[in-house]
Amino acid sequence: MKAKDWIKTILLLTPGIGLIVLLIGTVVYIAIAQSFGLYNLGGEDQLTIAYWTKMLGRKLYMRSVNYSLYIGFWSALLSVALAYPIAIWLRKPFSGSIAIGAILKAPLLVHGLVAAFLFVNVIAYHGIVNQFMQWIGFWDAPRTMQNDKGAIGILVLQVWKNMPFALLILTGSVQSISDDVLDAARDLGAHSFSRFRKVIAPLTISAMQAALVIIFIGAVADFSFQTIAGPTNRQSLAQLMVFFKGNGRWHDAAVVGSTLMICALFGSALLAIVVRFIVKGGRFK
Amino acid sequence: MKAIELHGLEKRFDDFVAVQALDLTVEKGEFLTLLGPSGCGKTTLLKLISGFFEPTKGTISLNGQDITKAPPESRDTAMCFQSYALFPHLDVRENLEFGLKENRVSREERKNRLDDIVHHLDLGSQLEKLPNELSGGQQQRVALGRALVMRPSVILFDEPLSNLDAKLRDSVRLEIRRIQQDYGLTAIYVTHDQSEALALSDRVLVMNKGSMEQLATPEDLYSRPATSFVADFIGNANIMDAEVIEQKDDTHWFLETPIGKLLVASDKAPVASEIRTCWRPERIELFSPAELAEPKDNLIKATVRDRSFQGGFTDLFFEAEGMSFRLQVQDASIHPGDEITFRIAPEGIILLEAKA
Repeated sequence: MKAKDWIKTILLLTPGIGLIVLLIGTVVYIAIAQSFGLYNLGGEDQLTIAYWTKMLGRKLYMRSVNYSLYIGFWSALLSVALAYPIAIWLRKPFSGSIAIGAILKAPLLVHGLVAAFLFVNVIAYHGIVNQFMQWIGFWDAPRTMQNDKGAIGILVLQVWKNMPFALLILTGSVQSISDDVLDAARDLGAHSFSRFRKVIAPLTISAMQAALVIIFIGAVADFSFQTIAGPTNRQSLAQLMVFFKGNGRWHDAAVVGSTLMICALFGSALLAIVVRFIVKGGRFK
Repeated sequence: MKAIELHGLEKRFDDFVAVQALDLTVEKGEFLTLLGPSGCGKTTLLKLISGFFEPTKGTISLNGQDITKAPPESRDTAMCFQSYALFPHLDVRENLEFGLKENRVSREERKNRLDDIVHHLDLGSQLEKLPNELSGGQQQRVALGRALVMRPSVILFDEPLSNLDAKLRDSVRLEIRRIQQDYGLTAIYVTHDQSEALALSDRVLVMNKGSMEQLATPEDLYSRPATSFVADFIGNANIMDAEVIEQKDDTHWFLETPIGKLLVASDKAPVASEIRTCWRPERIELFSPAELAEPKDNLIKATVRDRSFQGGFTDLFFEAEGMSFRLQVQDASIHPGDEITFRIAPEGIILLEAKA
């Protein structure tokens, strides 16, 4: 393209993309600047790495980073892993398939906070599961499932909420694979899992990456599920950030916020690259 | 030896019968073509043999083994798809090796088979390319190679040439036949193109509405169609109703037809007194007025209504009793309005089914 064309393109894109870049850029800039002592809301600005140094030395912070990454990775992987077989099952229309697809996607319409409350009703000490298990005689006494230390409840909630989104993205992608290509694989001796691993997954890799990245970014920054149903012995990064902010420690909150952005950026990139590498059989072509 | 045997095969999709009561035997090394119009059941039959459809009734045997319930991945067949169905994310080498790897063929054997097929199909320079970097003909060759490299008992072709242009179709058609003969493969080939069927096959199965209309060699199919459907579908034919008015001897009958009284020579007797009959437009003799002095049977006088020059021959059209008939002649000097006299040899008239 000539310089004139470049200028024309940039001018045409500026009202839309330019505004987005400006808004996001401002927020990112302020968060990062604040984590280095600037934009001080309670005193003099002072450019320093003291907040980062102090935070990196705190166990609480490192546990939050690990915990948020754990929730992010497992939520993304489990949601996509569960969505794939359903997307393949719904690939060809059959009687009732539209209704099943619609029901499966219903959690998309439920807000995360509401979903968490519904979930608590199910797993609470006097919740539905405990009552049911006692009624059928499996358990003698109720068990504690809410706020479990392994964060299984959070993962269940994340998968429940995010699987429909993965399904939405993957269904279209799986449906775009021609019947002949799948039949050819079968004709050449490929069994179900082999067809998935060698044909379906590589041909839907872009959709898979998109689903993983978007779910990961959402889950790594989880606040609402964690607050209601999460373990009490550790905090997610979002929870920690809100905690610092609530105590007026804006620079510490900015450090955690910046960490969250870094985790989301590098974690999602790593996830996308590793998945592509695995699915493509050890190459990036 | 029998490669494939079908007994009482039937496939229903709810109330629609796609294939009905079909019995068929395909010999080892034979090239059989399933021919018929769209929706006649030929692709369904191919998918029944390959295992993608399960029959509603009947059995399928491959090399004497019942494979009716076996899934496609367990059958010793390989399919060439109409759309080629190459794996778009794999290069040519990986496409060719896909089935071998799935069947855990040893690395050495894989290399031998790959070298052989690459040499046979001249794919050496394409191995690192992705399917979308190949032309239609090259893609077709890769699809063929991917099936052949499996060395299946039976290779199944589902209209493999329909996406190629006419010129390429001719050359790939010859290539398919050559490879099938080189490898001694049993092939079942689906097409709706009668010229493809006639050029390639040892035998042709003509299908209509899910049933077998006729199974014969290409020559027999053309010269001795069993029904007016086959006569009309294979090549050009002038089909007309006729009444059997007299039997001359064991092999000759006189028929009353829209173009006059005709003598017919046939080794099978007419199936009814009112039947359908046909003759091929090119199997006629034109007569000049001087030659008409000598009396002959089956002489027909007609006035040319339309003419269509085709290069190597000319189509002439005339009408009798409201029906249009076609003649194919070498003489390009005849024009609409000209009076012509021609003769159909008694052997050139074919007796078909009873008049409906």
